[in-house]
Amino acid sequence: MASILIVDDEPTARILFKEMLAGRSHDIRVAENGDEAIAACREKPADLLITDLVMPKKNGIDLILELKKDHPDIRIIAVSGGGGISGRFEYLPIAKMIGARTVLNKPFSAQVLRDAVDQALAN
Amino acid sequence: MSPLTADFEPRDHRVLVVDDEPELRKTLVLGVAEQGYEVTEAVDGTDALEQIGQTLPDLVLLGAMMPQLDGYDTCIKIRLIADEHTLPILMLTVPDDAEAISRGFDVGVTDFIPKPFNWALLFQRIHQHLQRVSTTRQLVQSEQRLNRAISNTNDGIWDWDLKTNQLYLSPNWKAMLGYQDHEFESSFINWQTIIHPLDLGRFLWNWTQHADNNSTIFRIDYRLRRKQGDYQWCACRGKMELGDDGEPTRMSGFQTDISERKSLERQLNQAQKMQAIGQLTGGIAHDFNNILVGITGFCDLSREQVHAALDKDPEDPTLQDLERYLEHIHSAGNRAKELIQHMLTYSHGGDTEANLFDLQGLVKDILPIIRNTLPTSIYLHTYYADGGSPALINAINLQQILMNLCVNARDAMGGRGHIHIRIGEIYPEGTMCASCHALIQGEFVYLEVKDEGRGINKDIAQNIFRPFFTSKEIGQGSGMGLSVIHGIVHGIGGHITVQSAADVGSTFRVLLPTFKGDALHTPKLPLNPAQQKSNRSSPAGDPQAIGQ
Repeated sequence: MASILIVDDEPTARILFKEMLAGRSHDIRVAENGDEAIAACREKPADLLITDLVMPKKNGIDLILELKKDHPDIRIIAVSGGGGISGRFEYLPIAKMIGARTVLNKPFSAQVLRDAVDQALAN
Repeated sequence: MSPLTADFEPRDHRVLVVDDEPELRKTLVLGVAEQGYEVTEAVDGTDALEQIGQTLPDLVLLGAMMPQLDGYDTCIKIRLIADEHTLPILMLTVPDDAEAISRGFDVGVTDFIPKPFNWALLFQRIHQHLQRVSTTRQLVQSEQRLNRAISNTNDGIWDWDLKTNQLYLSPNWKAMLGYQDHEFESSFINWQTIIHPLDLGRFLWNWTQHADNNSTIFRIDYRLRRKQGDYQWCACRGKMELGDDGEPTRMSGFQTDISERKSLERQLNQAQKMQAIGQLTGGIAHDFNNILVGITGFCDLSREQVHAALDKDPEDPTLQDLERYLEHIHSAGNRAKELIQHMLTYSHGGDTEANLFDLQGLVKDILPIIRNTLPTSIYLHTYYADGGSPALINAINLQQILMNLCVNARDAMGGRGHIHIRIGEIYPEGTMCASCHALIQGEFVYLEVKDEGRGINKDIAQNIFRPFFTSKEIGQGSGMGLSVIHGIVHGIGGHITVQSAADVGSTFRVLLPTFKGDALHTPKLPLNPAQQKSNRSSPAGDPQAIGQ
C-alpha cells in the first residue's frame, strides 16, 4: 500500500483525483497548498506526490524543490492547466527538469492518471 | 558694408559724395569725414555708377545738376543696382523747388538736403538714414534666418491678423496637406472645413480657451483633410498677441506634420493590445481549464460506472439513456479542451520542442494531409527555393500553420480556386509584423500561402490575429486559426506579414527563424545530396500541381 499525497488548490480537482484512484488500496491524503503538503509529509512521509503547479501561497515548483531536500526519494507527478511565469515559460517543463517523473496536462482521463501512478510506483 | 551691430558706429559706414563742383565736393567730403564716416568721392554721375558697380557704399550724397548724366538720371541707374531699403540717396537741391523734389522722389531719391547746407541737419539726416538701413538689414537677415529654419524643419506657419481678419498660411503649411500655394485660399473658414469632424470641437474649444486665458500656449494634435481626401495628423502650436489696450491683435504659430509619430504610437498601442490580449487569453484558458478538469473528470468516472453497470444489465433503459447523455458531455468536453489548447497556444506559443528542420522536406511530408482535407476544386501549387531552407519549427506546429492558412484560403475563394505555397529566404529588415506589430529584425526563411480570393477588408485587417475574431459566418469558424499561428510563430521568435487586395487575393508569409553559420549552436539538418537535387528540379516559378 503506497502513501499518496494530492496537492491542488481546487477542491473539485482534489476530490476528482482521489476518486480516480479510489478502490486501489492506496493511502490517499489531500492538501490545499504547498505549506499544507510539507506539514503533511513531515507528519508522515509520502511515496508519491501528485501536485498542481499554479497555486497561491507556495506554488508547485517551490513545493517540489523544498520536499526534495528532506525526501529525496519521493516520486512526483506534476499536473497543470497550462499556466506559466509571465506568460512565456511553461511550468510543466520546469517541473520535469527539477525531478517530476511525469507531467500531465489538465484535463486528463482517469485511466491516464492511474497509468501514471502505477508507473511511478513501479520504478 | 556695415557689420550688423546693435550700436551704430559711423566708421563702419561709407558715404559716397557725388558732385561735379570740386569746391562743394571737397567741403562735403571733409565735413562728413570729420563725423567719423568713411568717405569716397565721384566727379560726376558716370564716375559714381562705376564706383557703385564695384562696391556698394552705405549712402550716396548726390548733386542734382551735373553735365551729361544729371542727378536724376544717375539716381535711376543706381536704383537698378540697389533699392532704397539698402542704399539711401540724399539729393542736394535748392530749397522749395517743389518740381525738383517731386521728380526726385519719382526716380528713387530717398531724401533732400537743401543748399546752402545746414551741417547739423545734414549730419542728422545721414545718421538717420544709415541707422534705418542698418535696422532694415538686420530685419531682413533675421527673417531670412527664420525662413531658413522654418523651411529646414518643414513646419508650416500661420499668422492671423485679428483686426483685419487676414490669415496668412505659409506655402509649407499648405504643402504639408498636398496643396500648392494657390490651391488653398488662406482663410479661417477654409481651415476649419478641412479639420476632421471628430477633432473640430476640440480645436475650437482649445482656441476659445486660449483666447479667454492667454497665459498658456494654444496647442492641439488634430487631423486635417489632405487634398487627396485622406486625413493627416498635425500638431498646431500658437499664441495670441495683445495690443497696448489689452485687446487681442493677432494670433500666430506653427504647424508640424506628426503622422510618423502617430503611426508609431498606433503601432505601439497595437503591440501592447496584442500582449494584453495574450495575457488575458492565457489567464482565461488556465481558469477555464481548471473548471473543465472537474466536468470531464467526473464525466469520465461516471462513464466508467455506467459501463460497468451496463455490463451487468445491458437492457436497462435508464442506464442506456445515461450512457448516451454522458457521451454528449464527453464529446463537448473534448471540444472545449481543444479550444482551450488553441487559446494556450496563442498566449504561450506552440510546442516548445522546435528544432532546426529542413522546411522544404517538412512541407513535402505534410502536403498530402492538407491535400486530403481540401476539396478537389482547390488546386495546390508549390514553389521551392534552391537549396535547403533550415527553419526553427517542428512538424506538428508546421502542419497547424499550413492547415489553418489553407483552410482560410479555401474559404476566401468560396471553396474553388488555386492556392500557391512558396518557400524562400527573406531579409525583411524594417518591415512591420502584421500580428505583433514589432519591427522585423533578423534572418528568416518564409512559408508563403497565397490565394486568389476576395481579400481582407481593410477595416478588419488589424484584428485578424485576435483570438475569437472571425469574418466567417457564425458556426463556420472559431476565430482561432490565425491566433494559433500567431502563438506558434512568435513562440519561436518568428513573424508574419500579410498582403491583401480586394478581389485579387491575400498572401500570408510566415517568417521562421533560420541560422547561418554557427552563430547559435543549433545542429543543422544534414541535407542529403538526393534531396538537394530534387529541390532544384522544381525551381521557383515552375508551378508543380499536387494531387491533381
